[in-house]
Amino acid sequence: MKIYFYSSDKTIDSKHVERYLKQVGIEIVDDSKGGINQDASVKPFGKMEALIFQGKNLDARAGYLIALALSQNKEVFCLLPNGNKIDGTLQSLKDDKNFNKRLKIEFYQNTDLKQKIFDFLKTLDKGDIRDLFNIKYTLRISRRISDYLNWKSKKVDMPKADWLRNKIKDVIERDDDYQQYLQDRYKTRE
Amino acid sequence: MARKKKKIILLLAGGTLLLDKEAKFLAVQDSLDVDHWLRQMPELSILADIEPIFISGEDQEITPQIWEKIANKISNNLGNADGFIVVSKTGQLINTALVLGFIFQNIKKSIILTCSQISGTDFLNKKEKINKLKDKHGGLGLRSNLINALQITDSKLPGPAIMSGTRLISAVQAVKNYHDDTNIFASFNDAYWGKVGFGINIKKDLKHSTKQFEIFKKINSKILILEDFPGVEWSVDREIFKKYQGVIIKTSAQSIDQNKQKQIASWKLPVVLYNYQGILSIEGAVVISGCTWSAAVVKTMWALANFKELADFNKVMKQNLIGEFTV
Repeated sequence: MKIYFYSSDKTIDSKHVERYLKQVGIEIVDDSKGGINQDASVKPFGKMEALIFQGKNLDARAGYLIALALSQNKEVFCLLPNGNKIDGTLQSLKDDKNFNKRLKIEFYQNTDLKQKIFDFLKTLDKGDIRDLFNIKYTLRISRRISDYLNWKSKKVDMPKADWLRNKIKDVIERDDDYQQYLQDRYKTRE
Repeated sequence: MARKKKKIILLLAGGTLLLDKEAKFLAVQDSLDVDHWLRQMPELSILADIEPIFISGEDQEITPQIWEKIANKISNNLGNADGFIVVSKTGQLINTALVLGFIFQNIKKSIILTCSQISGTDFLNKKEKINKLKDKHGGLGLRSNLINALQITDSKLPGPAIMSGTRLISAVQAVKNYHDDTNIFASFNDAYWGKVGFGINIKKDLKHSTKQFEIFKKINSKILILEDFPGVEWSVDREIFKKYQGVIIKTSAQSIDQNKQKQIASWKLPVVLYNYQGILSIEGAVVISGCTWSAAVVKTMWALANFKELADFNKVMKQNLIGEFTV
């Protein structure tokens, strides 16, 4: 999973966020790497799942990234230190029915910062967008398998691709090891 | 977390086509459409306090009267806006940017022009292109163009610029790019004022004029535009010239034959002779080179309106006013 992380403060909290994300295997894209998609895409967030913002103040760059991420239908997670006030514009976006599911704002303390991120990552895992069929996959098969798929598709009156997707979903759900992996995915050893 | 947001005037003169949340096309055809159109992009409010001003509808032609209307709105709001964004039709965006560059010389506030990748609501001939844009980019590019334009409105730029796709292009260097559906404008000499990645990287060594800010609001559209083809004789009825107040001729030749020179002298009008690479001087015309054709035409229109004396007209046509001459 790829996530764009931006902090307007660059404090110890931002380092904790970055460290945690790396520990749980998230590929972080941030300003220090100069971003990706430098090949002139108009969708710089491309295949990234979300933007995480952390900081006391919504600076110009944060505003820009949040606007861009929302315009590209990405999830945005804003982590604000406890005691901060929500920027008026962010609040009105949160109240907007088009964004209230994708824009999450959480106040954190040092003691629960990791938990907040963990909860957010879990919602990403469960999110509807991860069930969208928007990744093209090329699979070479044998003639025997092709014949079977043709036969099965007619028998159950379902397109081959749909039947295959359903089968894969079943396999995922019945794979206990994988289900356990999902449970533990964002936990770290203290 | 309170922060002061910049105030941006958003002038709408076509180029406003976008897909709403239900994937239906939406454009601003009159002033009543503006609020609904802007509500499709609430994320813009993070970046600035936007005051939209309707200038002309999506299907209206961009005329000198529209340019003057845009100029008046900018002029009237110079004191209370931090910057200006003009959304206008793709086919006329470069000319609009150039006009504003000549009208507002050495302006200290940014004027950024942008557009959707498709203009006009006549979709009949555009279906294939629209579908391609939807598949590749999820829309017609206007949202990200506006976000990028808003982001750079508080940057100090030497003059009006076009923000489109991943590029920020000076008005005087912009040309249409027919080979790329992401970047529909390019710089004719491959020099850009900025490029977009995760943010806009503005070029560090942009040259800013030290001259005083001046406004020249008039534009004269009564010019005859001719293209000369070497070896092909001109046959221009003198009656035509009664309708015009100036002529601009584009030629690929580096000199004009005697016969054509005589014709030019007989017109008794200000005449501009343009060849990008250079052309020999002749009597009765001012020759210019080293700028884009669009810049040459717009500058002629502007100079005709603001300099009535032929000597002043000729002089100003040769001056490098807004960086239009790059060679």
